[in-house]
Amino acid sequence: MTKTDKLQVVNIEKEYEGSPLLRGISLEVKTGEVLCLLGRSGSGKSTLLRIIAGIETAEQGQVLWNGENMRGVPVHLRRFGLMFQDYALFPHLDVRGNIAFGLRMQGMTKEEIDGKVVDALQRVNLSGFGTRRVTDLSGGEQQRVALARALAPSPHLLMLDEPLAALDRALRAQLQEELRQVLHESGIPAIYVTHDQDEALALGDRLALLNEGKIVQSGTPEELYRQPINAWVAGFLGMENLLPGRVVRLDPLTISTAFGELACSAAPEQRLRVGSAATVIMLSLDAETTEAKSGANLVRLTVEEAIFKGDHYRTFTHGASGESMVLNLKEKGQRGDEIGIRIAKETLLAVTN
Amino acid sequence: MIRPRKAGFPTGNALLWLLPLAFLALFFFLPLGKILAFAAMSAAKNGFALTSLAPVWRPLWFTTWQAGLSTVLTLLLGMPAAYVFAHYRFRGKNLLRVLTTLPFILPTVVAVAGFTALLGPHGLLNLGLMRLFQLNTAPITFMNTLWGILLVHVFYNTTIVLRVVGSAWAQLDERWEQTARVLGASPRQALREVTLPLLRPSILAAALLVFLFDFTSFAVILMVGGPYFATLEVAIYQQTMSLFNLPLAGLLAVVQLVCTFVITWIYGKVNGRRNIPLLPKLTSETLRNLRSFGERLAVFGINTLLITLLVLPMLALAARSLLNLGADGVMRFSTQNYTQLFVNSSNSYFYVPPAGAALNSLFYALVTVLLSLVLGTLAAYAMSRARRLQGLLSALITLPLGASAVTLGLGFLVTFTRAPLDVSHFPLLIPIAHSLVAMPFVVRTLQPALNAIPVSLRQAAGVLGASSMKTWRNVDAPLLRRPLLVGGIFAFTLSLGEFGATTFLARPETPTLPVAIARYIGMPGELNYGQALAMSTILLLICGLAIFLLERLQPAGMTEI
Repeated sequence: MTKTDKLQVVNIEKEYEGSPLLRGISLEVKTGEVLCLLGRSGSGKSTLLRIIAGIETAEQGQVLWNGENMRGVPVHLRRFGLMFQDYALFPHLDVRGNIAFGLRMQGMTKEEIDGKVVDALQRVNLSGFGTRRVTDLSGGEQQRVALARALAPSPHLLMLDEPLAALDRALRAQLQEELRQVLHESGIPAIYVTHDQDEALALGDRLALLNEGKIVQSGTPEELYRQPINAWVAGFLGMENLLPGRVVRLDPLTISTAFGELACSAAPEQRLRVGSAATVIMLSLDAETTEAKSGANLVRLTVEEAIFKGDHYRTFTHGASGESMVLNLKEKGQRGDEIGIRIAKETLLAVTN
Repeated sequence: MIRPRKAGFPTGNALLWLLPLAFLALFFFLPLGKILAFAAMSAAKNGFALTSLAPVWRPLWFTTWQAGLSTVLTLLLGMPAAYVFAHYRFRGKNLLRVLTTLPFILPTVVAVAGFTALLGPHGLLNLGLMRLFQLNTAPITFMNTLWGILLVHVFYNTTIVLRVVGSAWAQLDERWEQTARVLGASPRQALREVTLPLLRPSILAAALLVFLFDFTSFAVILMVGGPYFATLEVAIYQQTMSLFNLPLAGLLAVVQLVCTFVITWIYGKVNGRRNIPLLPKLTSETLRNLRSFGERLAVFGINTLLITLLVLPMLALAARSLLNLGADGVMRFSTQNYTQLFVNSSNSYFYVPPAGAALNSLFYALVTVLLSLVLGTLAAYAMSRARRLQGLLSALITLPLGASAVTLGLGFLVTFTRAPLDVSHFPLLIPIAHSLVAMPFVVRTLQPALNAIPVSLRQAAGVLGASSMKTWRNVDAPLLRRPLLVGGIFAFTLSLGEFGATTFLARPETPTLPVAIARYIGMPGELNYGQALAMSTILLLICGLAIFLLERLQPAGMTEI
């Protein structure tokens, strides 16, 4: 890849029926990169894609392609591919007709189109499906046809709106892998919208978390998982032990929680003050029981239930005042067992509420 | 043990069927057979030489091409209107939507009267222009012209395109078009390559239906076209009423029947079992507000056209009926046209005052309501019981709709020639003919309601100790009240406005309102014309009331065509 293309979205604002839907969205995505836009349904993810595609217009903000403002460039001249959640395959055309559509619109000759259709079908493992009717295809096959159709005209940018949401679990895992390969092989900058964090981790080079019309946090998956900036992000990423508390000391940083006073680490930009409310995020559930009766970051818990998970036991516990905590333990605990664990300061992240 | 009953009408299946089937046999199939016999007679007499078939070819050809032309014009207005209705939110849309139901219920004679009140030789536009530019003759010629016929046809049928194509368009997933755009199609290409192909079935269905209605058009051609234009329907009428050539009329009727059955059959193939809503359900999830100037202009233009076409003639009708053209060429407000309706003027065409025609119409309409409701209810019950035969029975009931009104009239005329069922002495033949047409509507309104009554409800009533009659009174009857009322209103307005069959059957001294209107409009003299307009206005008001009631009774009302 010699040339690097870049899409920039700057400060997009959009209202929906009088209330703000997108409130100052900015993001960018480059050649060879997949940006996963992660958010609950109704968070405006799809609307953002439609604004980038030019199907809808934003009240404010800009969409820039290699620095050039796309305002006034009609949908069909942007060359941004968009794949809808339920694929929107043309029912009046067969598989070939669907894939050829974008190529025909570019005015290619029949020979060129035929060649490209064959390539596209091969790329999504559907060789020989050209004359099938799209209504006869299974969900997974439809998804592949939609992908082939979106990629065939070599779009400058590819946007995928929950492309796996309509599929069942097993198929989703398989297609997720295929999709990852196809996206990375093509090198086309891609925006991938999903509400599933596993999918986002599997596919995204970078993640952007959308909540209530704003991007709450963005970065590589590692950055997000190691430094969630608040409890919402942590909860959304699936972290389970979020302990509410209050700052006791700043040096060393100590938070008082239902499980006692815990020494924590924190990002410098978190503005923690003594006495202010904070949440302690346990970045890891892995823990070992200890016989020690006292010491720093020692938490005493009562086991409720332990579920065998192969290499560990997922163990549900509660503290003295009844707050629950989930841990991954090596040994199986019995209901009612009193255990003690020591939590490393590095895995406890304090964030302001 | 209590035997579970499928439908709770307390009579046997065969008995339920007996009455409606006997009615159909006597008043539909028998006349049809007579017409066939007459047609065979004509064919046998003249042979099948092409020259002798000229009286058939000429009207057939004219019928076909005027229907084709009308259909094209209707689509030209209807398609953009369907787009606007399916995609935009704008003020007055609901009112416009209700107004578009008007042609479904408005008698053809009233529509023609409305157009003459606007565009005719003594219409508001001509009189206004004559006064303005000091002209001696009417500058606009509407009567006896082809464009007049086409205009009224477009008036009647645009609403069908609006309904059929409009609701399909509103329900068409926008993402198809958007996908096309994203794949590089310009708006025009997306329309041509994706939207129109996806809408093709509904466009075809609408076009066929419009073609069918234009093909069987009678009153419009007769009244607007005058002596120069004869469709098959008009030719049948002329051969019967003026030339008394019943064999040729029979032959024409058979040709007409074959054509309409073929068109209906194709329509059924294309359309499946889709019904057409009385009030179009043109709600899409993504109705847009008008934004750009271009959008506003387009929607304004389309709506202005629709309102002009649908409302202006009706307004002109009401206004013109309250004006009197003096000898000096000046129009003055006057209620004379209405007061004169009750006067038996000596130079009147009829022996009774026009108010008498209204009484006749009212009487026939009430008999039609009674007949079609009783027979329709029996048939609907029979059908809900015999689920397996439902399709066949439904087809039998609907068959009279495939025959044109003129064919029905002709059939009655040639069949019922002897007492007691004698056209000239048994006036009830008129409401009987109306009932043949009204019954399918009644059945269609009742059937969903009947099918919706759960068997368990009746069983519960039975378990609670209700006899079959009591069950019917307490379970079925309350649930059927509303569809019965809807069916009744349909039958009433249908009978009130029916012209095609009635014009064959009504005796000169007992005309119905439409027959009287048609004759008065064709007669010279300001008073005659004014009275035709006054009667038309009364019919218009009754139809407006019917629409109001229907909308109240059945917000998602379905009428089948």
